[in-house]
Amino acid sequence: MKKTTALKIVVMVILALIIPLFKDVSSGLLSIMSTVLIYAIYGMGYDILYGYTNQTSYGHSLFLGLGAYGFLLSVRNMNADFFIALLIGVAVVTVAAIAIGLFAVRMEESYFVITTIILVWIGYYLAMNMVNITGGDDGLSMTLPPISLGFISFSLYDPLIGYYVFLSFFAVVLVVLERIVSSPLGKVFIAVRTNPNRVEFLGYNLFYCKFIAFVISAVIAGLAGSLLAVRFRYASATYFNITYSALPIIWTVLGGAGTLWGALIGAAIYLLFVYFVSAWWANYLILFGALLITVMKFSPKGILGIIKKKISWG
Amino acid sequence: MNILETKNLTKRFGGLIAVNKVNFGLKKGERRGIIGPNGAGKTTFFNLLSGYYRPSEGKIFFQGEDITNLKPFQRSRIGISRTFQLTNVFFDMTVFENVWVGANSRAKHPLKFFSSAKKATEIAEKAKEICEMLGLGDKLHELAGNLSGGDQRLLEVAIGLSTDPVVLLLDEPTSGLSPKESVDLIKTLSALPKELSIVLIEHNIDAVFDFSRTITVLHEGSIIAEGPPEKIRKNKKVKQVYLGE
Repeated sequence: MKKTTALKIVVMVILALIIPLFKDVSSGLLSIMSTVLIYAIYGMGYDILYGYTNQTSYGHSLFLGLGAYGFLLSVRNMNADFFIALLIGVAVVTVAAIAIGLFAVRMEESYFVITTIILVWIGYYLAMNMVNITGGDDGLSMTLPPISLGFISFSLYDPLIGYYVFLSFFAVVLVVLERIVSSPLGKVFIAVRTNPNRVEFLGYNLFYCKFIAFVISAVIAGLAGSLLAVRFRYASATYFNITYSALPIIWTVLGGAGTLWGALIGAAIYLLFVYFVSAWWANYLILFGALLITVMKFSPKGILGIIKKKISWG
Repeated sequence: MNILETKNLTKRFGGLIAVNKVNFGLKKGERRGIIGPNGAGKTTFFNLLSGYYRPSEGKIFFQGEDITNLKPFQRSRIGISRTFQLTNVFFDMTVFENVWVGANSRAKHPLKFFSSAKKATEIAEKAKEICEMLGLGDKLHELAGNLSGGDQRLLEVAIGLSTDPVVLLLDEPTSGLSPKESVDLIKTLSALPKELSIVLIEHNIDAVFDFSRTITVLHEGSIIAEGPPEKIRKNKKVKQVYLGE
């Protein structure tokens, strides 16, 4: 077996079997790890855009927020079942991603960045101002629907069940995205990242390739948004804030862009700072920034780039 | 009938006329050389043929059809392939992957997203064959960015060939190659299937005169002479502007 495959299995075993053991010792750990997994989903989707096709979007919190509200509002207003609410959340995001992608993806490089920044601010102010729909800054909460699989149903109020639900989504997204990046489409994505101009001269519609990556990453962001609403039983207009757009960039750069797994590492380290380092120093973000800059300086391919050098990552 | 033809093809950049009313015709299977001093408009002409630039005036026909408004990727799909004067490969990818990307664009479904790329063995075989033909067979898994300048030039040609072209436009493929490598490359190019039409821009006069049966001479954006190599060598105008005699 390849060393990398072995390492991946070890990580999955830790996530699936070891971490749940700590549920009584420290009940906070499960909730934090749940957030790590949701952030990792968000980051992996973002990696398809940034790490694989080199498009830097500052607008993905728009899709995160839409996914969160799509879920939350379906539950609040329609009493929707868990999977129906999820489907609505993701569907809303898909439509938005196609509509936005059709013009935003045509912008190149810095124009694309600026376009996404403008869009995310528009989204943020709309969400803040439409208080009667979104609850604005205060947000809205919901009663979680149970997950019913025909004969049995689970209550999401149990942190352990919640954790396993998020872990399942993480695993499914990981497997799907890993298949995509090893498919012909994934190889073309890498070619787009490396030399977009030449791709066009080889008979590929460059816009279409970039557009597919944009929509995939946006849909995954929407899914993460829905799960985030589930995790906190709540959504607020702050999900649309540009801060939430910057986070997946930071995670993928820190963990390693173009690796998928980098997002998990980046999100985990980020939350480690948010929950633990912050306890002994309120200005913990300065330390996090220093870490980020150090990693970027010494390993442009992130933390996984360092590991890869050590064990020759597949 | 000409497979590739231009009528009054013109490209202006502000006041500069880079390509001036060029009427160019290429027959199927023809091996054509284009020469001309620096700034003659050779590369601009290729940029027009491959769709990188829109012409200011004039039309381009491919197999009798007007392709003036087709985008670069559409021209590639109908069979016009080009290489670049400045090496323009996928530096972060291996030699094999570079050629694979081109070959894959001719697959039935080039953007399949749920089956492993490794399963497409026909495309992999084709990519390997092209690499071997250009003498890159033992460097398949080296990163393009780590290759020597000469090997990168060969890879450039390999990528150009990977899309099953009908017309291949080569922009100074031997620049940066050693004399021996140049000779080898010209030999390899001469041995390509007869039905493939090739247009070669070259500064290496010996190479281009060896390779082509017809030479087109560009000067200040216009064709000043066209004919077999021996006549071009004797042409007074050409000697004046280009051969420096």
